[in-house]
Amino acid sequence: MQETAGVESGGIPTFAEANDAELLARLRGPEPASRQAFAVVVRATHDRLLGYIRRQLGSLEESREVLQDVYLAAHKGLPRFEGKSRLTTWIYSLAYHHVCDRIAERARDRSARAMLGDGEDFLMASGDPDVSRATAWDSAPDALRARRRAEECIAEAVAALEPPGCHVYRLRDVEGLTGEEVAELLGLSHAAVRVQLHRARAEIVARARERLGAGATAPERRRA
Amino acid sequence: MNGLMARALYPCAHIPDLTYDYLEGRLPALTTLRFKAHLAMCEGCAEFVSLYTLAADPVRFLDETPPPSELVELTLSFLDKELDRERGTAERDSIGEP
Repeated sequence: MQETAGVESGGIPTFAEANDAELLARLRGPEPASRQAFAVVVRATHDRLLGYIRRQLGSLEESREVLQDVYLAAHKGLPRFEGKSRLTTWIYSLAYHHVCDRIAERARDRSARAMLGDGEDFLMASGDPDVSRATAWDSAPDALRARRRAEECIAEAVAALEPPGCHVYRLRDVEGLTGEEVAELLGLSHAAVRVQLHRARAEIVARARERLGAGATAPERRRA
Repeated sequence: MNGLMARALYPCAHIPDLTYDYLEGRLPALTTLRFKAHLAMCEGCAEFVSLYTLAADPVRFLDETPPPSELVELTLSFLDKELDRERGTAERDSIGEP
């Protein structure tokens, strides 16, 4: 699946050069141009989508499998894609749904194993004994080290974030989609995206503060 | 004393809700001034806003090992084979081959 670079060379435009309508026309056209245009889309979205899926699923191999399924679904769904959203937003929505399906499959597998009593859930619930509680952020001797510790705590809190907030948060703050794109992708109003995003961020901060040992000073817990 | 002055500007309970709009640059100028003045005098809220700011822009510090560059080529190669296979099946179906 090779594509030539640049419109000026007379080949398939790169993703950045082409607008959605132009790309869609090529994608829906005859081969080999449609296959080349699809390769342009894959190259332009691959690493970002793989990163998104990997952050949800963890395993690189499993994420690659899911991403391949997403692209096959995108290729198959192209004739039905109406172009109401951006092409990238549409592909993200496919990735989002595939990830949700895979997570649901995992949950079903886990509950099936738990019913068989292999004890895995017990091990998973036991937590990490090596996670040490940090001293207060601002009392650390070195500001840079304190900031790194704060970032670690935020990263841990992000990893622990649960639905529905985690979907909005990851798409908006981690993947960098706009509020409008997230709203469209998840079928939410802009106001709902804003509320869920703020709640998710506030929850991350609360969890990070617990890790940092500063939970008692959280403003929402203090009397005004 | 600082804490009292800070809360006279804004109650601490208002700070989390204002933080979202502050980061979006949507607070009116006067509210922004009072918000910043509160943070300058209130350690707890300043910490909250610092952490919230990190949470709103986590890409710099989340573990982002870029995928190996050859992966995109492997994906393209896989898709090529799958699409060829699908096309072959569709063509066989259309001419009624078993």
